[in-house]
Amino acid sequence: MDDYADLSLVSELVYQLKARDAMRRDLISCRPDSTLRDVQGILRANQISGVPVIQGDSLVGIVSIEDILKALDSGYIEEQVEKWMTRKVVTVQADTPLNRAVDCFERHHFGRLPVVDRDGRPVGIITPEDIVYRLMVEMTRIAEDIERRHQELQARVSEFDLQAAVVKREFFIRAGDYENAGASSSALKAELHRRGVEPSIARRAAIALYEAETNIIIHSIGGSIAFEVSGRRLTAEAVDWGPGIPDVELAMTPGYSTASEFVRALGFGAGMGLSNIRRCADRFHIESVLNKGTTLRIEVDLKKIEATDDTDREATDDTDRTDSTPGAADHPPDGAVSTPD
Amino acid sequence: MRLSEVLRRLEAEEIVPASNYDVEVRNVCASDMLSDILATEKMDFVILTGLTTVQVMRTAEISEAIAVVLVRNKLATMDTVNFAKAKGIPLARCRFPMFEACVRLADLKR
Repeated sequence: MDDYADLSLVSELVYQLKARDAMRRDLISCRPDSTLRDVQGILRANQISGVPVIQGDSLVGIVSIEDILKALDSGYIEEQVEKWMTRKVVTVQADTPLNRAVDCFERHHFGRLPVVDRDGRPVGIITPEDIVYRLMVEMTRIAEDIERRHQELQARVSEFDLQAAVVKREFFIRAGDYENAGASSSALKAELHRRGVEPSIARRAAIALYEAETNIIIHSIGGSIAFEVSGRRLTAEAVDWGPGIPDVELAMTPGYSTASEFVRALGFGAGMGLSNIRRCADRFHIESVLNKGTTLRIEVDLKKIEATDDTDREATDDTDRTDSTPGAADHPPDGAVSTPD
Repeated sequence: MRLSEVLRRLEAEEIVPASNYDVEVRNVCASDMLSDILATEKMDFVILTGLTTVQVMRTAEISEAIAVVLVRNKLATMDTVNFAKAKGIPLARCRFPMFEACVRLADLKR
């Protein structure tokens, strides 16, 4: 906020707020037949600098601390208020805007102004301090309101950032590096949890990536895993440099494995990898060229779509799962093996 | 069945203790093949396995298993134990072979 905004806020407030909003209602007063000595006691006891003089329910005068000092000086402190009070009292009406009250204080240099209703009956008293106090309270309330709204907005913005930010990670995978298998999927899982992706979806995504990673470690001469997480989707690409899969459809068959005994002893090579990946991914595409390498591309939708049961997921799959026996003639003549896209 | 009951029935020796023994175990995934474990759609399960490598813990992490119990009192590698500790996944071992271990937990699937 700049200075002008500050000022306009204050001037708006002093116009909106009325004398009744800032005045004290516990009116401390004296009667015309009180003595100036009584008033001295009232002022001291209440630590105030003046009191209105009230008879019945009307305001008849005002006595200030200056009047008392004069009375003490001149020796008439024991006399009645009626004789020495100011009779022509400047008042403000209860529904007067505070800016007019402020003008009044500036013009007359009074320490206090009795506040009266429309019929001139006293209903309170107001001092410049009361006005300042009321403005402070009001401004604090407004500031808190602005702060609260700012925080709400901030929270919404950061949530938006988190969802909108695109995170990309790439991992190089060495052949035979069984010890480190799973680094990319751990990273993915952490990222998905950070984003508050539903746990069952995060689990599917991590499993798909883990299987892809172990495939590269077990079967290839090395490769890489790259994933990109956006607000709605995980896209991952597992690329290796060879040797390629001779028959992708066969490799997709659950239980079919070419893994060595050594690899199986480590718990890998159950022949479930590719079918696991396909089960976990919402979209799945594999392309393999013998002696060149395999590229596996998967997508997982991170936002829950209505009625996401398995049949729905299969229906949106890029691959045609109903066709389980594509002939060799389906494959391109250059020896590329690819599932139907 | 609570995790504490699972461990009791298996007379398991804890290697990496659990932080919560009251967590409800509803399934067991008994396999020496990691992909079989990853293929499961079960939730709230413990893994019974003869595998001792760190990949068992990685698989447990990714498939969100409650705990891993090694059968036949197999010795976990240091990597395995350290990974379990780092990820806070309870790890235990029991003297029973896989089949007996499964039988001891069979009424989970009654």
